[in-house]
Amino acid sequence: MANYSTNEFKSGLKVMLEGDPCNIIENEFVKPGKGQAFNRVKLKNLRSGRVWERTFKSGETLESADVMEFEMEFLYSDGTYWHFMKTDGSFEQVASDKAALDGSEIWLNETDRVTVTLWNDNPILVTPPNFVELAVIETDPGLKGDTASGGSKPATLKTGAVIKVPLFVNIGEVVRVDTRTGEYQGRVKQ
Amino acid sequence: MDLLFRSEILKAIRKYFYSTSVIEVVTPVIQKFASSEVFIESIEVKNYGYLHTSPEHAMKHLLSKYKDSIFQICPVFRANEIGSFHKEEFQMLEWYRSSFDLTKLLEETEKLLRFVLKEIAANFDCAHLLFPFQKISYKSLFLNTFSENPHTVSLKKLSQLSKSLNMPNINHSRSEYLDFLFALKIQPKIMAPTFVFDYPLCQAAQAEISFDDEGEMVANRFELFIEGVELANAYQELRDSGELLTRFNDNNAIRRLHGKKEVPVDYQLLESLPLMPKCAGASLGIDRLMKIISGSPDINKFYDTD
Repeated sequence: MANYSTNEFKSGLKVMLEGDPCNIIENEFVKPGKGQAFNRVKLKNLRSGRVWERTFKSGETLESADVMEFEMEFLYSDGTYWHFMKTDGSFEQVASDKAALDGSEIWLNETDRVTVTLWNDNPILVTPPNFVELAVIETDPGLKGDTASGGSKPATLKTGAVIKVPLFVNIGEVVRVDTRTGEYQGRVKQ
Repeated sequence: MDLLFRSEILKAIRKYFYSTSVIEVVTPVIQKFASSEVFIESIEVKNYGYLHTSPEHAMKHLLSKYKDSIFQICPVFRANEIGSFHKEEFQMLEWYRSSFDLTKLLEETEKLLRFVLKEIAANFDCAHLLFPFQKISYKSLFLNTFSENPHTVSLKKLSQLSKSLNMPNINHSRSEYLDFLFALKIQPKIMAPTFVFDYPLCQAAQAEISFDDEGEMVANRFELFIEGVELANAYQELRDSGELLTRFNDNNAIRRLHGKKEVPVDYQLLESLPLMPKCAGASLGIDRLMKIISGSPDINKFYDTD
């Protein structure tokens, strides 16, 4: 495995730290006038999603992490594994367990394109698209014409996600949702 | 455009010094001796010597003969300094004022900067930099942030403070702890132009030693910070060659501690020092000044030749 020195650190570089693969977010070279140089580095732990702040002596090295991101199509879930296929024409498939999904399974709509992060060829992170369009399968009956009162009610989507929607939304309608916040964005005309 | 930007700044600096009868000088970029500073690495030019990391030694040699105020604008070189505030080659203004004490040089530094900003104001927006300059001692800053006196705090306490801020775990000298803490917790918060004066003794470099108003021994130097960036560095210049030799030897001792090669002592400088008039000297990074004025995220931008 290759090693990267602090002066090669840049955002997007994948390195190993404390046994976990990390993505470098920010690297700042700090050198007080005549003092010893160091680097302040922000890294995102790709397994936990946590952001770490570390200081390294300039010139220190970290081992590179064999981490690759692929665009994949979500095929189906068998309840234990979620199956994805590469979209590069290779038809290669990977199966991810629930840990790598880390809650994002509620946004996975069959045939949607997602980003799958592989570490040593195993999925460790599945990132759904920022916006998904999903049908409402359960909610209280809509109040016809009420598009202004501003109230909201829970609605269950076809993937099992429960979100808040305005009162006028009905079962069978398709809604657009921001997967980063879980917020309703609007109805989608079919 | 960056080309004009630099040109206007250089023109203004020269206009200031020429109007005050400070002589512009040129000293060789290639020097026989590498920098003695532990954490400033010189770039070697095989069979010739080293690219200078600052024109300090050569200018002091000139001062010892010419005896009057001089300035120089030149490229300087420091290995492995790469970042948005650092470049391995950058442009430095360095000037020495014969007979000046440090207070007078501090006043001149502010005057020079105000002059430069005024001269270029027609073409470049400097409005965000026109607030009053501040002055504060290193001790006050350190006390405000860490509730410790930097001149007397124990090495153990410095180590604890640094460890709590994730300092990389290696052997450190007193100065390294102080630098680390200052760079991480104090410097980023200095936004308005601020002169920091009375440095710890272990950071005297080539400055004279004096006493602060509480009778504590301090290094008679100042640095100017603007928007979290170190822009200028100044000393009441040391003229005691015995004392300088001791400091050079101390630097070599710390170099050994870090497994670095020792640097031969610049004996030419030691010979020049006693012949130098009383003087104060300062250096200022031109690229950093450009970065601060323009708000550009990276000084490397000013060297784009594409």
